[in-house]
Amino acid sequence: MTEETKVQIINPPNRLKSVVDDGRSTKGVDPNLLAKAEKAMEDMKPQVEAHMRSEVAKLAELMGKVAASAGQDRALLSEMYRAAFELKGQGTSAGYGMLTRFGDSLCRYIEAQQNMGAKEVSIVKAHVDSISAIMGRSIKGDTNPIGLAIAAELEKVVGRPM
Amino acid sequence: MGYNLSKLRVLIVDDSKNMRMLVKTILSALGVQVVREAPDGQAAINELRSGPIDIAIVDWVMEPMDGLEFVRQVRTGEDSPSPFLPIIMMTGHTEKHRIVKARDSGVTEFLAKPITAKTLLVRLTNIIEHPRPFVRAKGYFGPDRRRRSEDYGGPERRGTSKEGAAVKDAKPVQA
Repeated sequence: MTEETKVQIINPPNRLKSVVDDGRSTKGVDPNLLAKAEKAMEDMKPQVEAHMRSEVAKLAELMGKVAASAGQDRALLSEMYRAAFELKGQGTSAGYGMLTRFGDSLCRYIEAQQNMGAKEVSIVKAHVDSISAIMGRSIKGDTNPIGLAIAAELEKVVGRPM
Repeated sequence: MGYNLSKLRVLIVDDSKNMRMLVKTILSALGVQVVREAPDGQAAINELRSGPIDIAIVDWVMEPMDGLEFVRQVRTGEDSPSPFLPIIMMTGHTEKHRIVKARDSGVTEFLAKPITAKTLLVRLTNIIEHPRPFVRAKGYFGPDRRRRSEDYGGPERRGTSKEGAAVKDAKPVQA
């Protein structure tokens, strides 16, 4: 066997098992523990929502600057991407599933654009306006019919199901 | 009754303070008492050096050191304090090519954002119940990138490729 093809398999001792097994433990996910964690997450929603509101405000502010630069300032678009990524990652945790959806779409769109022109900027703006409307009207969940209709329209433009 | 997670020591690495708080809230509710935090990969390496950690939950996109580089440093860094550390990569990047890239850096499990209490608990349980063997090969050191054999329904290739033959022939060793 050459050095190039030599492969070693190592079985590290399972220290975790000894840390978490107190002798009364059972395998699998504990439904009571899960319910407790879900409740804690539910209680945290207002805090996550406040963070989402600040990210949406940041996005709206950035939109003005992106439009003013006609989409030519990549640093602004990167900042916008980060804000949209934050919405994608935490929108649902705040109870705003639509923010996750539109945030995801906006990230994908910004990432796919090598050059921005007026048309591309208008598509970015459509995302940001939708996101602002969702937050402004406190549209929770991911089943609002108007939100779904807008998502479907943007889906055609972005070219990929959201 | 599940497991008693009170003695588990978890490190959360994310540049978003809000995200760290969210994960910490879930872990605390699950009974985890020792939760340490770091805002980026370098700070996380320093945390690992300052005391033992059982599991790290790491975001991908961070500066100056991102989650992928953190995983590489932990797995293959010359002075890594814990190369076998179970690492859960928590990310909004769910595209296949990115998952493959993260897997090849030595990630143990993935946790897609938005996270839920259930997905996090399932990943933790999986790491506890199904620890993966580690593979040391040319260009890779980390958890076996293939799941346990009973989970694998595809064709057996390890006996046919050069590397596969080596894995098949390799004798497992204890760390």
